[in-house]
Amino acid sequence: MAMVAAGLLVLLADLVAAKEKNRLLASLSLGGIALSLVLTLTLIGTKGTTLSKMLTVDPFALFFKVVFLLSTFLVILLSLDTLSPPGSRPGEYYTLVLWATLGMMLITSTTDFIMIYIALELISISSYVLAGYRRLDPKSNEAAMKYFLLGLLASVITLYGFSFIYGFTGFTELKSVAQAITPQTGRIVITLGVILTLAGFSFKMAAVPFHQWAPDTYEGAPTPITAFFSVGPKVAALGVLIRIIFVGFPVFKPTWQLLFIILSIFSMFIGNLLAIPQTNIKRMLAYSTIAHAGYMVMALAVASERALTGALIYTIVYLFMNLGAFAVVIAYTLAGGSENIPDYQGLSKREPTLALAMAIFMLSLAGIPPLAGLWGKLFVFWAAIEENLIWLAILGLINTLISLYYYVNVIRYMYLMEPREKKPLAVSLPLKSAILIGALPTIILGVYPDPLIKLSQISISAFLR
Amino acid sequence: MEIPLLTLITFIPLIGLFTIFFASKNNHRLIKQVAIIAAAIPLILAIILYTQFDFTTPGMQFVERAKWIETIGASYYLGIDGISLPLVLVTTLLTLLALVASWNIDNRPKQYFALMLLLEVGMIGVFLALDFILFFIFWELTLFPMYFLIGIWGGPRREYAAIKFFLYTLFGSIFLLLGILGIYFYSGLNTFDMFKLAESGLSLPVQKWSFLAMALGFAIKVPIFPFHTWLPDAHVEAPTAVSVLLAGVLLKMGGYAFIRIGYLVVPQGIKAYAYPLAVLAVISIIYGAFAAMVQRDLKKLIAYSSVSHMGFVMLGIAAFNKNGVSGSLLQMFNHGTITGMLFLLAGLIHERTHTREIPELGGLFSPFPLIAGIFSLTAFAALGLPSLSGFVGELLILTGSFGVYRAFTVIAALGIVITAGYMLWTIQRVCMGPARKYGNPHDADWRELSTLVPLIAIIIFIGIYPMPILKVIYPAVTRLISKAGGL
Repeated sequence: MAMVAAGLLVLLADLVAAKEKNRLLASLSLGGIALSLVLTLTLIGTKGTTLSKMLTVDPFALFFKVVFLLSTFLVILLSLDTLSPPGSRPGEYYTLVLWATLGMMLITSTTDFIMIYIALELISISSYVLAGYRRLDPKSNEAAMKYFLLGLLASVITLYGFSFIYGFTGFTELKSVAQAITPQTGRIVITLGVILTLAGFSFKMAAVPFHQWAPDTYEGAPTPITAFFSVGPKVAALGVLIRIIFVGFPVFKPTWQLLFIILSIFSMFIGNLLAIPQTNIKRMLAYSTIAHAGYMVMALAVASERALTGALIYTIVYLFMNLGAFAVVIAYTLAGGSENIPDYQGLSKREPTLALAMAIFMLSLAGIPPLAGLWGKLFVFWAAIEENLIWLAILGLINTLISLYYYVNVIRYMYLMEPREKKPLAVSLPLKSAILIGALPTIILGVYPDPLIKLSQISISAFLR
Repeated sequence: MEIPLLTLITFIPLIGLFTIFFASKNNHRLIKQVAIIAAAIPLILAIILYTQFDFTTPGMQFVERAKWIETIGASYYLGIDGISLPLVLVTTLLTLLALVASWNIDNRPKQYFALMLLLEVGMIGVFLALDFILFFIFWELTLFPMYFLIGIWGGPRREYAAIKFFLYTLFGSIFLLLGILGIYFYSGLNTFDMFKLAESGLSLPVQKWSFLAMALGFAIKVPIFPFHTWLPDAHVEAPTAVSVLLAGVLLKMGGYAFIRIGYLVVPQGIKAYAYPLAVLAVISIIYGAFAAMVQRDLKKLIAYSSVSHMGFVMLGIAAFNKNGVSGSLLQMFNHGTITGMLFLLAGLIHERTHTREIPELGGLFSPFPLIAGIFSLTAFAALGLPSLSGFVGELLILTGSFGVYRAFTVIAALGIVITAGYMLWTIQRVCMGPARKYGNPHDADWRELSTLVPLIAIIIFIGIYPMPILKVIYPAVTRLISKAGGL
């Protein structure tokens, strides 16, 4: 609830304060997030529902809240410098980001379809505007248009799916729905409802074949927003899918398991294979996130306790390494570089720390030990083997190998080639902090993942009770 | 308080790495000195380890355990026994010598030495780790330093060689991971402790399949024919010191893994496939030798000779008896010193003559008697001349395999003849004959000699009196074989 307050506060401040008080508004936003984080942490250990049973408080919800708050915190750090030029209207930007985060926190904290939809729209509408924030940039407009049109379609489909379920069961609350259905009755209706819902949320996750908007939107949107999209909505969709499927439709496992398997395989392969020929780093990262969505969906396909634990672990390590990578991209672009991968050549000589950070993020995304990315993948693949889906794990591992090629490609440019100019780059303090906040957990959790694993296990076991 | 000797040996290079990290990148001298100290200390500690080692007990010594990732049952578990001790010694020694040989690196020395130290951590860790996850992490840890070392400081085709090495080896590692996870599950013990898993009574199909998976990873590393194709490119393009470590240590990781993991954890698996392994080993021996014979590039020749020599090692491992496995371990130690030397010498020759093409070399005895002399001696060791260390290793291996694979032993012995053929021919082409005009005519200086003399001394000493190494190896091997049940 502090998020609501923070969001309102920033909007108010934007109206009241002088025209271009970027730093002040950013600090307010950051402060609001920090406050929310603290409040969320104080809720650990409690369990219950509020708002006439619309919202639940359990470790699962708290976990995701923390993920979103951390991610938005980093995104605001990333956005600070992008919003400095005049005419940027930072106030509305921060407000929208905060609202979107609120939506994400809500969507993983609820067990009611109506609330899910409201939260979904909150996230989506804020995102559409944010994607097109650079009003004068045609690419940004294109990004927003594509996202809006396709996103609208996806939301409508999701709602349609919900309507089937409601129509059949007469309930909008997940647990009640689960009790109202059996594997025999209303099979077709429910299956249809589930498929449609899945489709809608897979869009948000940029899973294949609902991913077509992602490369263009990621490329055109302002980079901090791209970073925001790569983590927030994706993780939100994952979280809400877990809740919907496991609370509402555990009996339909054969159906949705097959769907998830297909989604996962296609996302991994298409994401990784299409990332290889990319020359724009934002597009490459877009396809990379599509592939990562594939790994996360694999956890859903496996559907065991260990798999879900793996999914949670994945979201946290993914948050740090992905936002870190984007932070480096922003830093480089602001310092005069382009978004073309070949333009990164020789970065290791111009700005060694920046190149090192990027190398760490690239290797972690590929899943190379001793970095954190390994553990996310390891748990998910492991869970697959445990549930006798060895072939799925093998496909995942093959994809890891494929992905290595394009991640190492970036490293290759940075380290193995000479730079075109020699002068070092200027990187602002907020960006440096963001990179550091991304890099440190990536390294530390890589070597000592136990706390993260324990945390995820607690969240999942509480959820599954 | 007990000093955690093994942890120190493994991680002191890491401390060196951090120190270098904070040094200015222009202070080349300081960086190099720090690196050399950071590599010398583990060697000294390893030698102390040797003196403190109990030669009579076959079990693990200097064991260190700590909780690490309890949730999945991975612990920090290091130990050393007669099987790993020679390899740790050779690793620490070669790393130090490789760093000394790298004294002249002027292009980004800070990153070079940092990566070398990181590589050392990985290499030593592999030999000491007794927990599968720890082992896997150290195994993988060697990959990306190698990628950078080859890719930045290597020869003209370095990018290709580096990425080929990385992807090829990673491909193998994937299967290694699958095998490890398979063992973890089917044991049901929720631990990655190698010993506990070994005693958990894995069924035969589990052992066979997981061995196959892991063996692919190991086979790529050794490398066994036909998984060796990354080796010639990587060796040729890598800078001298990196080639030394690649041939001297990284290949041994594969052989060690076969023994440590194969025999200990999945003995029935490895026994089931011992015969195919022997076949591939013999093919490697012969193929490697013939391929070496036709090479024009000196480094490529040495690379293929490595394939051939590691074939001997694999034959000994496949023989599954005390002589065979002990011979393999000894030969791994020897090959590290011998081939390490050959690469160091190739580097020295290249620096002076600016070519690696054998037809362009010749008559090196005249201007460079020291280098040429040591080269000849090392080549003799490589072909297994009695009184040099290579002979002892090969003798043990052949003795061990004779009882089990008579025909293969004969073929392998023929391989020795071919090896002698190309080695002697190489000595003749490179060192003898009329002297040519070479640009920089000074012979090995004291720094370069300091990298060569220790190795030569070991090669000669072990050749005459191999017991210091063998007495370390024998108890552990005997126990391992008896527990695994002979072939």
